[in-house]
Amino acid sequence: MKQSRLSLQQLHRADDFASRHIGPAEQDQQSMLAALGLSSLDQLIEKVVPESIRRRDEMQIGAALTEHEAMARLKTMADNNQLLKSYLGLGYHNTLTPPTIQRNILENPAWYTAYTPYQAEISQGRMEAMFNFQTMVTDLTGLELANASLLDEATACAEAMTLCQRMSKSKGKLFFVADDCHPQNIDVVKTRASTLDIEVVVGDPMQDLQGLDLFGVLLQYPGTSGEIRDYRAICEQAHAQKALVAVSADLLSLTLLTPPGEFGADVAVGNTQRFGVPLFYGGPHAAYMATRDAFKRSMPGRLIGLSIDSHGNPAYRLALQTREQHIRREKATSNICTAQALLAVIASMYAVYHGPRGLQQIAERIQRLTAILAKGLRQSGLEITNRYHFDTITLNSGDKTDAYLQAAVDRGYNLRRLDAAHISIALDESTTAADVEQLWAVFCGADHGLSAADLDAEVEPDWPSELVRSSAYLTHEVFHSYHSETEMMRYMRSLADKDLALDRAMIPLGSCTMKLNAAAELMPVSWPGFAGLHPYAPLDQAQGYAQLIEELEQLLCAATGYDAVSLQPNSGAQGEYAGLLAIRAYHDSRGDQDRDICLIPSSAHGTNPASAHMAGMRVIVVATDEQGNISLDDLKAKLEQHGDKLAAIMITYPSTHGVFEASVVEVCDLIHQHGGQVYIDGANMNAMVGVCSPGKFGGDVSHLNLHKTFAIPHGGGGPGVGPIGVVEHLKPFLPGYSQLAGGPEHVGPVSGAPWGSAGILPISWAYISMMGQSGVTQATQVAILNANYMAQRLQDHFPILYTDANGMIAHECIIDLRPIKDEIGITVDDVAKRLIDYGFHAPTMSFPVPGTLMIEPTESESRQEIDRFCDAMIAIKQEIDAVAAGELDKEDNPLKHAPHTVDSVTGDDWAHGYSRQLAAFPVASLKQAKYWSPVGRVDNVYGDRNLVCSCPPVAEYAEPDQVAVA
Amino acid sequence: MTKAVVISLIGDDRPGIVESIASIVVQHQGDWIESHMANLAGKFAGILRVNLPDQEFEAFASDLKSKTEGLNIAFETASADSKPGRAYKLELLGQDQPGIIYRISSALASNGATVQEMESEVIDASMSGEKLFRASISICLAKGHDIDQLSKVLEDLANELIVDIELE
Repeated sequence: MKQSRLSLQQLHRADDFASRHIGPAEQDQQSMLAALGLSSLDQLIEKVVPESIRRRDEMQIGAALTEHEAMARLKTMADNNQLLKSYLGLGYHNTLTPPTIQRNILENPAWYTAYTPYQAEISQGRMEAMFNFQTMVTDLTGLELANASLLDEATACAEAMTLCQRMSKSKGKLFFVADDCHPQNIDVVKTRASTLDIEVVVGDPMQDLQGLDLFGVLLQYPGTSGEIRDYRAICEQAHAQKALVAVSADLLSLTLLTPPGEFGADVAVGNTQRFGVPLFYGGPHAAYMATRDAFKRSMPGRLIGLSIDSHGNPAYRLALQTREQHIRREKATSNICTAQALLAVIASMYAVYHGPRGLQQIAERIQRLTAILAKGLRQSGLEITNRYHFDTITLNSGDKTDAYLQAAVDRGYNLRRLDAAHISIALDESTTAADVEQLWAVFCGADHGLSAADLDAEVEPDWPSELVRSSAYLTHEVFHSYHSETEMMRYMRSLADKDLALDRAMIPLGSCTMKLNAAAELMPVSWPGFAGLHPYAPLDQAQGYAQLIEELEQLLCAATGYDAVSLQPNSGAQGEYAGLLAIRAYHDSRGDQDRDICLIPSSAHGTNPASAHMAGMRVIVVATDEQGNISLDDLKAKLEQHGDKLAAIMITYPSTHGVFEASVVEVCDLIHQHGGQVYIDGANMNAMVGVCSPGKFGGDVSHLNLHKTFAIPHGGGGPGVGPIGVVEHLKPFLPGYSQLAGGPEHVGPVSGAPWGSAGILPISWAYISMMGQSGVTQATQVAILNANYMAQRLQDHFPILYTDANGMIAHECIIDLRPIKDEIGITVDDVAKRLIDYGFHAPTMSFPVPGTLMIEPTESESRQEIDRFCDAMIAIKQEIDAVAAGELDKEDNPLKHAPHTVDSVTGDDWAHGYSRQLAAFPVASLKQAKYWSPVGRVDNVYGDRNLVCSCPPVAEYAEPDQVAVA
Repeated sequence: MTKAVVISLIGDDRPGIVESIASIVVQHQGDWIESHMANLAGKFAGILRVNLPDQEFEAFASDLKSKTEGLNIAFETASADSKPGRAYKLELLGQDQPGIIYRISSALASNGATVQEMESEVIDASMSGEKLFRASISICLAKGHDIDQLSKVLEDLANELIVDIELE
């Protein structure tokens, strides 16, 4: 077949990536448009997006780069980061990621494209890995219960503070923070306390606790200088004052040190980064939190629990979900609705890979090298100020501090300037004897004459017995079973195979935007030039990151219409919080301290009221009308009543109901007229890029979920990145940087690292750069097309709850299952679980309206996949109709018994009134490719009534049949 | 003399029930003090407190019974409306499970709390789709009983129950 001759330029196919990212091919788009009675994408957008907010200017985003061009540019940036060995400590350490974990988890889409495990049955693999994480943390901290991870150590310290306040019997408003905590932990705690009417006192807990009316104490273990102290007396004293004790502890050190749970601490938090997770210039990493069983209802973050399935077999699920903000809203324990899932999985696998003996040897080796380093320095006349140490020593550098630091840099090492006269050095798993000898050269000159091998024999363990751990840990079989690489590889594979991630099927979760996470976007993340940098490495060594951050900030400004962006918040909810802090600080700066009311529509994301509460605002709910739009009458009434106290409104656009509300400009105007600021939740930005810009139609600040619109993967329930964009007048109120000069000063830092989860920013940079200006706009158009096409196909079978005046939706739609439940008794849950039998992850359940499903296909899904999903939904509707008609039993039907496991379908005792064929292969295409749910429907009530959040004794594991129903 | 009566009514719901009750109250010079009415599963259920002249009571009661066909009606003489103890509002949220209200109400009773008002519902939880039990209960706690103790008992009775307490 002869085609017309293409030019060299055309043959280059610069827009190749966009056409691969976007699912429907051009002819499919045309036929889908035709099904909607439209002829072009432009026509679709004119019909869906209100004229009053339509963007007509060009986004300042360049033309598309090919995948290899984009990677080449990122490679240049990575090469501009200098990789010195950073012995800066502060909770961030070099680590040796086991290659099998890097390849099989960190770089494996089966793990990184998975969603939060709300659908327990199809998430058993990653929940097992996170359950291992909880077991690991529980064991190492010596406490009773650990969650599935938090955002970072500094925010975990802030969460520990509020946990202490909730659980302490003290009425005091004071939180005591030890002065040898890591400085970024202190800074973030102070930021958090500032809006919660909590006074933070920083001092020496050995001296200063007496007589204070406090509710909690935060300690660092070992201290930031490396010193290790026995905290028993402090715990006793704090408890005598009715206060609780939180300890930020280095998890690796706890293989050797008496764990917090054994010296009386009530809460332990910390970073698990050094368990095989790269430094990533600050994140993402999994922080941990462990506490007493009695405090479980008050613990923030996700918790994986063991329950049973419909066959009585053990099965994992998310436990104690009533704590979460989408249920408790402003009363939630925290606005954290996420875990650093992928990173927690990696950290847990590091423990599985090494086992307790391996971990202990790693820790002992680090301690030994540190002892050798200290001994050599002492022999050379330097003063080490620590009495005891694990991996960190502090030396008295006197007036030579800067000279030593420079000498260290010259030899390839970053050491920490603790103050003008002290330097601290934190060794790690990657440190060698040769490194120690280099460090001697820094302080003692090249002719130091010391030998690590010689000194090895001379150093003796010197910890007093109270500091030495005697209890066993990681005794469970999982930490002993996979120490050959073959077994390890197969274990990780077997877990991945249990789960349904984007690498298998569409995940049509409304509000979650499960779009493609392209390989070219992800590959640069594990390059050493990005992965290996310490967050507090000198800025002149991080020039590549500086360029990446600046360019990404500009791209995001262009996409949103805002004037400035902060990339620091390391989750969407943190972004909301940072945005509200900016608003508060702005009002304060104008003398409007009384403005503390935050209006929130009833349909908002649950994190909105939780974040507003954290930012010290009072939440007033604004009603929505029957069409799901903000009720202008109610809004005006609330403004009439509260206008002079109004701080902000938080709206989501397009609304959580999946509709472009035509009144948004009027809403923004009304708020501004009453002196308030408009917070536009950017959760649905994927419907706006290129067609309207929140920074121009009335928003003052928005957060963006880079893991939704800008292609960062969800990582099995991870927070991605939640930057905020602001208009010019809020720019001075962006969060400041901990431990770094030159940032904004009105608001303290909200994350431990200056640029939050910097390590995954290359993903969003690559996404925007490879899509180019026209590609990102086309993504928006096709996201809206896919959603409307799907709504069109489903509307004859299920009622679509909300549409605009033209009968159109934005990028997602809500289908209403309440009538079916009322008439036939089939619930949302039944439909969701039945979808698993058809090979799909269910859409979002009961959000924002109970009894409904919210579906968002995203632009990345092809017409074939959308049709396959619609076919499944329609087939399920036919099954429901068969129940209604009496052809299937009301209880004994494939919906009520979904999902069906291999075991149940192939077992000899099939006792159902419907066929096995209908159970497992309701549509013919499943015979070519079938996903089998590894467990039957998980029993939620059993799980919470019999809460188990870490590995039970081995015997119980070996005999799953013995897990009895109480 | 004025008599204080508490009346409970239950039966098939139909338009105009409340209106007809109200008109009977007025006919007998009654004073509608307070009430709670609800429709549950197609049934009308109501409880109301009426003050009316002593001598009107018999006629009022018989009128009410005859003119509101299909309703089961019971009358109780109200006691003085003093509330010994402190009033609290409890918000309960937990996973739904069989017998939850029975267990909550027994815990309240055995800890010196009387229920003034209680509303409850079962809803689908966002995201996970679990069945959630949500209740809002106004209680009066007798003197000598501790609200913290009550809160602990409530939280202990179902692992998953979260109890928020406000002093009214």
